[in-house]
Amino acid sequence: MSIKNDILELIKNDVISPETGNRIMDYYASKTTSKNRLVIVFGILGATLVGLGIILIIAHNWDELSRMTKTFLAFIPLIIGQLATGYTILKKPNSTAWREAAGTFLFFGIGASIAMVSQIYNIPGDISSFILTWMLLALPVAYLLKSSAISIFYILGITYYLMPHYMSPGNEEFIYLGLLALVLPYYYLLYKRSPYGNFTNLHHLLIPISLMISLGSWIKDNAEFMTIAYFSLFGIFYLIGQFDLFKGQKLRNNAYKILGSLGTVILLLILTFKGFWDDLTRPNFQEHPILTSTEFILATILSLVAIALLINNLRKHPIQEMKPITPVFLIFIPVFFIGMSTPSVVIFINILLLWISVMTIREGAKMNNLGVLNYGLLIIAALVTARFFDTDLSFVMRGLLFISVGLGFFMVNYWMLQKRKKHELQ
Amino acid sequence: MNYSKLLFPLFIVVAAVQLFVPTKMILDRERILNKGKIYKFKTAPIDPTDPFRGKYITLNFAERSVKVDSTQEWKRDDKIYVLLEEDSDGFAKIKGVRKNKPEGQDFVRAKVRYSRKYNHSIDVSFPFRKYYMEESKAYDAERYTRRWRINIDSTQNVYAVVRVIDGESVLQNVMVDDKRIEDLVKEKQAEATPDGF
Repeated sequence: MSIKNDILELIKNDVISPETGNRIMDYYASKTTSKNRLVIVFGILGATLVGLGIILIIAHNWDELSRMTKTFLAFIPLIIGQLATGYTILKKPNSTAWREAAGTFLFFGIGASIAMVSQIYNIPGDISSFILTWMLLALPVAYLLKSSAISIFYILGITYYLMPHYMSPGNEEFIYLGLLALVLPYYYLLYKRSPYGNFTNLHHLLIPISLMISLGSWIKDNAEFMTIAYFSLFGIFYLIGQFDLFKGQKLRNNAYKILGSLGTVILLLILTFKGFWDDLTRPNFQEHPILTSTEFILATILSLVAIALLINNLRKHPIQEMKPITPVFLIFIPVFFIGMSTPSVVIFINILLLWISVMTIREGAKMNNLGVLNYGLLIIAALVTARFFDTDLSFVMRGLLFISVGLGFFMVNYWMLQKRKKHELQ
Repeated sequence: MNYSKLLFPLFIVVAAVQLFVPTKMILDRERILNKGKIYKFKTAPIDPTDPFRGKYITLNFAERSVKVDSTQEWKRDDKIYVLLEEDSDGFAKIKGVRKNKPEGQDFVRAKVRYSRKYNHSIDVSFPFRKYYMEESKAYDAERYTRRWRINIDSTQNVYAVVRVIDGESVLQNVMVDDKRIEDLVKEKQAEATPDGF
């Protein structure tokens, strides 16, 4: 190809260094066109379906076959996957489609073979220990093959691993953290390799979701403290969403920001009900020692991380530009401790959420962004809905309030569209 | 680049580990199956499903409680060693439980399922509680054995054949008297009327 000759010429004449030249060539080799992207998607999809199909067929348990035959068969999907992967590493190292499809097939091949062995020998252990073995055997291939599909399946797998251990004794939460740490270097390398790629965006989405799910598994006796931990986690997500690396990205590719904002708002909405705060002041809550509880330690660590990120954020952006969601985690900490003595802080939470919605609507109007504007309106609508389920207002009164919120939606959107039209005419 | 040259040898290592793990699982079990001593545990099966490994029956063992001096020391999920012996009918019996590895006696590694304060006993959770079966047979295995146990032929024994060596165990078969449970289910399925019983 002509670009290769050009680069070689540039290297020869010392215009660029050989490393730069190699990197340029790598870049063009790995650059995916949309047709290529389709091949990758179908490759992964095909390999996943075939792999899962094999696992299902194995799960039938063919008891007419002898133990020897079954044991022999157990290795076949694994070996096919390994051969495909070996071939890809040797012959097709630059084809994303080959790497992802072979990786996916190997991933399911590993699962199929250990599933079959544990079935033949009635190997004890719950589904978690099976998943753990599977994930650990598969992960190195993600690195060697640069296969993002494996990394994605791995993240799903370790999250699934943790789910049966909600609220149970044992140390699966720590194992989960270790397992997650093992995939983070891949996440980083992937980001370096293609900062705006689809696989990178998918990782931006799955890693915070996995963390969010995993947080619940730490709950032991002082569950109330987890609200602080969750607010801080959402605060961390929201602050990460404001990193420079997301600048100029579409909002839908910034899952950290979306999850941080939605998480904070939904949690606040839940806390606008009195139930939680009534529980918090009840004396039996103070039975378990607080300072040494997992929940308290976790809440402290996450809050400190969030505060560090906030300080970092304030260094770069003036405080006036701060989004209303950003400081919620920090505001919530004193509110929580005041709430331990009086449930009336619930009024403050309502006001806080109302303030967030008003600020969001204002921001939407300023930015001329209908999405943000309607998000703000939606928060108000949710708040109104929530309040009128737990108060004793008459049906007529509630009806009128709903009508006014609905009319508000129409009017604000209409006003915004008119404003846009005017701008276009000018 | 050096890294890309290393890639394939590294992959060979990873592939070898991927092959080694199931092979090791197989060889460990084969050793127990070939050399282990046979114990027969009286049991009653019930049938759940595992999304990846298929249908299995969970075994509830008749012999599972053992007296202890104080339930304080035996907490849920604690790892324990269960000493085994045979009763006069040739079925397995729990001789005792230990916290440390016993010498010169038959034992299996197990866990405490729960402890009962009021009669100073603990329930043992054996590691061989899952028996994987062909998907159409697992539920019937539960139905047929349950039927016999209740009214038809209470003299029939349902038991698990477990091989034990050095504390490790493999569940080899589940038997109804002298027949493997899958053979029996097959016979019963063949002679059953279309509506089941």
